[in-house]
Amino acid sequence: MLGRLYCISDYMKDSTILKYVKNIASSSEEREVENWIMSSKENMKEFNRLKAMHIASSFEATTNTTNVDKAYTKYDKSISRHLNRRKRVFSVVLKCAAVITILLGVKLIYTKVLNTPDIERLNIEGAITLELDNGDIKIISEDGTIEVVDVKGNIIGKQQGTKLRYQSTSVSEKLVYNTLTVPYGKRFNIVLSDGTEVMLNSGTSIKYPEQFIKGKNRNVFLMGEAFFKVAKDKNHPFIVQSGDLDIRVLGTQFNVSSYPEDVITNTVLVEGEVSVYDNKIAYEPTEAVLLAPGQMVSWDKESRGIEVEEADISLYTAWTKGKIIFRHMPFKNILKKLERHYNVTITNTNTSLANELFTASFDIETIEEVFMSFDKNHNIDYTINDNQIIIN
Amino acid sequence: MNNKVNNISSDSFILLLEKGESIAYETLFRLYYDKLVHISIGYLGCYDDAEEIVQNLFLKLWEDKKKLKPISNINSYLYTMVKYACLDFIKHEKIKMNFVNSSLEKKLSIQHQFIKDEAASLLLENELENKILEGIDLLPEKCRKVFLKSRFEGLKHHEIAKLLDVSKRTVDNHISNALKHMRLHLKEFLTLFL
Repeated sequence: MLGRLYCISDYMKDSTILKYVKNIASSSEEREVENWIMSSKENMKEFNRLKAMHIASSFEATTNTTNVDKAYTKYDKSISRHLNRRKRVFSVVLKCAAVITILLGVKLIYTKVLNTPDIERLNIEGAITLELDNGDIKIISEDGTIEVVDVKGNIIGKQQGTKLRYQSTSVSEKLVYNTLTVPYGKRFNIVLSDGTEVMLNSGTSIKYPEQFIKGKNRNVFLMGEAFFKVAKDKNHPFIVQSGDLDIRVLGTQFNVSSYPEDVITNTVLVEGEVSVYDNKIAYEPTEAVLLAPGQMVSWDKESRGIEVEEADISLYTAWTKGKIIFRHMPFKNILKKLERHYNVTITNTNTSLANELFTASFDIETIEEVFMSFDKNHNIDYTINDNQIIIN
Repeated sequence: MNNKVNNISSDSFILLLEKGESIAYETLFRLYYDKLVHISIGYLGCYDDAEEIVQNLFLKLWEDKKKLKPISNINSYLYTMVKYACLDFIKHEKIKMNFVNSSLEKKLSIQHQFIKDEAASLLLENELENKILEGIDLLPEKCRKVFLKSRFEGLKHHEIAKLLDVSKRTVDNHISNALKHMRLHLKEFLTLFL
């Protein structure tokens, strides 16, 4: 009898260890496994053996999710950059030639975009759009290219693929705003005129000046979720305004999630230093909450409360690599994330499920596969009709 | 398992790396990248950091090409590089997270001791080699022929087309296929240069 019990508890231990190794254990399970590992040399050895076997037997998983072509292109570029240091003079000439050709190419396509009739403008549902200061709306197609011109007709921004890059031109004195909107199911990148990179998640809208003005703060307005790599400029603080919350930065990397339907605005700091504060109160460095790398600050829009905690950065920035990770997340929040990511509508009539916590991660799976895996692990009764999903 | 080690290690391959032959780097990269990323994920638990570490590792391999001579086993060399890069990363992470709660520190300590575990290292290094050897599946023969002629005999595409009596377009396709899959047997690769 004793012996049997021992076996069962041993088996349970093994499966929790496996969960831990696979990075899918709940935090209480994590603590349990960690304590078990630390409690004796034998346990540690056994853990190492299991973990090594797991890694050794799962190479395919990474092979399937890794884009070696893309990685190699990146590597090749780094090497050429290295080589090019020696041939600088030559390469400058080449670069100029390349820029001219690209500009010409863009110009042609741009004229075409401008000439398309208004019908297309009406059908912007589901498309990435760029709203200019004068109210004009341009549709951005991910395999196309457009350019943004200022009042004098100078080119100040160019889009290629999923990136829109602004460049700093002549000194401007008036702030001219553009608004970029990314629908559900899509993502997009912008490089602002100061060199700041912004990755926009699905269902996000950002308003920013075409050109920042010397001597003034760099202000942008965000609704939704974005990852910022702010270009260093000590004299011009970069401020992300999100509802009543301001996030103030000098030069750093961080993620902001502030969807209108979420009560909480999250800011996760990856590198550098940011401070956050209620913008209904004037900025006071001593009053603002200062964030250290690896920390997350949550702002409750309703109670106006600010809370700082340690956070797993990779969890909050996974979307920038096309992954979605849920860790102990209520089912209702998961559904919202899935709706954004896959551009689907999900109706949940099973209220008892809404607040249940789940842990999972997806990247290349289709929405059907996502639900299949939920069903497999948690027995969920659902039906999928095109973009409509109903859970009973 | 031991005689397989000899398959992968080779002076002539190192020589190519030393000379900065881009094809040697590309071969190595395409063979090893995802596998090293996998090990690195196992060590660190994070995909992005893992990819960055492996990119840097290959960059370092290229930058340090003049110092590669003493390497006798490229598989073991690459594995060791990943291992130490991950150890460094965790050390750095520990310092960065100095102020953080003890549970994170515990996690990092466990990761740290795992990377240093010799039995685990041995298993992973051997399995890495097995995977590479498996991965060096042979290309369809015609594809391989074209590829070898182009890359190693230095023939122009139209010359190969003439030689093998196929169109230049076919040659282009074969080469891009070969490059894409790069399932070229390293041994074969090496004998071409001896």
